[in-house]
Amino acid sequence: MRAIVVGAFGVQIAEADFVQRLAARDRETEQQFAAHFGQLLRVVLRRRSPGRPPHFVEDVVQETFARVLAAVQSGRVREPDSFGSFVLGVGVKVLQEASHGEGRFKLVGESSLDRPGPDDPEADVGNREILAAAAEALEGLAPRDRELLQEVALDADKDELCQRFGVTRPHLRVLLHRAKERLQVLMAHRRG
Amino acid sequence: MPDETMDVASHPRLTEQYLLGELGERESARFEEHFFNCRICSDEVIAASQLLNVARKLPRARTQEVPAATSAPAARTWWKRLFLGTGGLVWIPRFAALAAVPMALLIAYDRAVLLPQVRDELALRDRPGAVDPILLRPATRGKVRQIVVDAGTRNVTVALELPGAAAGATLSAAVESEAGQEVIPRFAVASPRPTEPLIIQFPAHRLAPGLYQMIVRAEDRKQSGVPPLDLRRYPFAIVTR
Repeated sequence: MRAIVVGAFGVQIAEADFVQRLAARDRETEQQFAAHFGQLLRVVLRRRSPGRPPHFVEDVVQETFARVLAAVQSGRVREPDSFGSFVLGVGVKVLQEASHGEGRFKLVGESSLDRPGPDDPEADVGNREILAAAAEALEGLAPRDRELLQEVALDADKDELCQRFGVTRPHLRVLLHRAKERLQVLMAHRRG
Repeated sequence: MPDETMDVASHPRLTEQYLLGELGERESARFEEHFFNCRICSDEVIAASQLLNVARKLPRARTQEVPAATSAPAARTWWKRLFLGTGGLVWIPRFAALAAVPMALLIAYDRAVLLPQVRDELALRDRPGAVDPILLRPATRGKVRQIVVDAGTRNVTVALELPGAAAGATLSAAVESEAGQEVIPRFAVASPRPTEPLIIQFPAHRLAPGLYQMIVRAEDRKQSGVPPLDLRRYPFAIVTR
């Protein structure tokens, strides 16, 4: 079975029989599962449900976790090597149900927009380490690039942004790529 | 099929394109399928998205030299038009002054707490094996690489040179003591790209001082009932400082 690598940003971690240990309700494995796939799911869900409040995404993530763990524990994961695809598939299905108010998953408290969500770095203690490294990575950028990246993060219109800053689309990619690489180096140091 | 169907190497900056919304719906879905199953790409996606998350949350004063209090000419945004259009220019300095207080607090927190934390962590980079992988050579030259651990050592990263035939194979690794006892049980490892070494991180601090070897095996033959094949053995010694 392929290793499920947890503890993002890291090199390979010795993890054998991940799904098996998840089925056995190993607490550490469950935490690793939530940490790794939680981050990936939040990226996908945020992209697929723009404008939704953070807790909407978090509710979908939690429901996804519940369904995946239930499936694992009842032996319904037939291809452990494609476990990532399975988690993604469940997440997308839950998102569709949540978006249409269908199925057994109903959203609660959607009006409480100020409720902090785990995609809010300040609200997530586990993310503090990444927050500090990301802040450091951003500090390493030229002020203009930092401003540009922040505008990108705030979902500004990319074409307008390029025009305003006198840059091209590929420049945005390169900028994000460099900042990302810097963050990965910082995180590798921290995880060492 | 998951990641195997996507040729990531032929799509440079795929992560950036995905996060910048430059991929079509179908390509995005394929890439999601890929990075949910790929160690390297999932790390990249997480890193870049966390970066954007933090950039989004940072006070804008950090990335813009000064809030728009005195620079009215390029009034593009709705709130600038609102203020200027209603004679609210007078209020802008007050607004900026009020906004400056939490910004100053956030910046002070960042500089006084977060950045020192980062610097402390970066100080760990000099620890052997913490950042730069320790190269382990196969057991053919009669020399044993020493891995020095001290009270602060946690995981150690090693780089293993693999034979070319290992590229693309299903691999596993394990650590055995000198007496042949498996002290770190067999675990699956993703095969590296053809020209790259196999990078493995393992909890060296859990090993007592002594001689060990890391064994890399090809697992593919298991499907046909043949036991895994030992590809290479990499001896090393754990030494305490």
